[in-house]
Amino acid sequence: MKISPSLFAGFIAFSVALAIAGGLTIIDSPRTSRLKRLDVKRLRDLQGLSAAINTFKSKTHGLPETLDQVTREQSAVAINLRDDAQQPYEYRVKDDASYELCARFDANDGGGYAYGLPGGGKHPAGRYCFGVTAAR
Amino acid sequence: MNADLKEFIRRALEKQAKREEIAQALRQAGWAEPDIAAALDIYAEMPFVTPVPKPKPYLSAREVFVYLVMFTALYKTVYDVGALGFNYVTHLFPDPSLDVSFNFSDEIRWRISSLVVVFPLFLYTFRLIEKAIAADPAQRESRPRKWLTYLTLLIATVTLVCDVSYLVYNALGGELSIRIALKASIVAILAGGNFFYFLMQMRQGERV
Repeated sequence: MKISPSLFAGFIAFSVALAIAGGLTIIDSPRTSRLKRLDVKRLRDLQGLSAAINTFKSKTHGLPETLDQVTREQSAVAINLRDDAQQPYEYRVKDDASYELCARFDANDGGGYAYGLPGGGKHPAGRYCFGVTAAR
Repeated sequence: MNADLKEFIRRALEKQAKREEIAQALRQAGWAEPDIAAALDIYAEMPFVTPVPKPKPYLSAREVFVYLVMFTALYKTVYDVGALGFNYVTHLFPDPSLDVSFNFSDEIRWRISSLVVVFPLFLYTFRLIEKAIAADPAQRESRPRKWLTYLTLLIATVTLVCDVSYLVYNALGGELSIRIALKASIVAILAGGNFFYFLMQMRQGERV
């Protein structure tokens, strides 16, 4: 039995085409990928803010009134108060130990994970607030 | 090539013995058919005062480089296709025993990007080699080609053996699901396709 080189090249080409087509049906479009990456960055920023608020609380035994207060205390750590569109992240004290951190997200759960935020930072598209209980 | 056999054929041809007679004598002495054919093939079939040796198939450093690029590109192409197939199967049939949801997008993007570069490279070098063999069929017998082809056969064989072991391992662990069967099929088709093609190539080379 003889297999021609063209047939073999065709077999490889067919499997490559099939694999690429299958892969493209799973992954997001370049635009959605970009938006999800920005969401992951926002989530990282909120995680940083949450960690800084915890540190603030452990030092002062109270929650900060504004995020500016946190940045003044935590000058050694880079804290982003605004997202890529220069929109400020929202912070609201609910009671002695809990607060809300809000941001605007472009996609429904961008695949990022944030420690310290409820549900690991799972969020819907649009403006979303995480209710956080500060560490004791 | 056995030096005694080579010397025997040279002397026999010098004494005007016919090739069929030489082959018959060697057969009676117990030599294997491929050895006889290969040894007789050393000398050209042409009338002259002494046996005229044929040029040995020879690959230049440039050609060895092209072979290495072709085989490396082939291995990478097949590996990426297999990995994409695995990701697709896992996406279609997620494993309920794994509680961590894995985001495939990044890996799939890498595999597709790699294929977009490496597959055309394979195709280009593959065509270069096939053209060179069509122009000079003796190249089919060149040593680097044989070594790399047998290395490919070895890799394909090991992959197929591991594939079957993977099936048995999962069957023993009660995991013989459609997901495992599809993954094993992907490996079998890719490794089997390569194994079969290069085995046929080697057999064809031995017949030439």
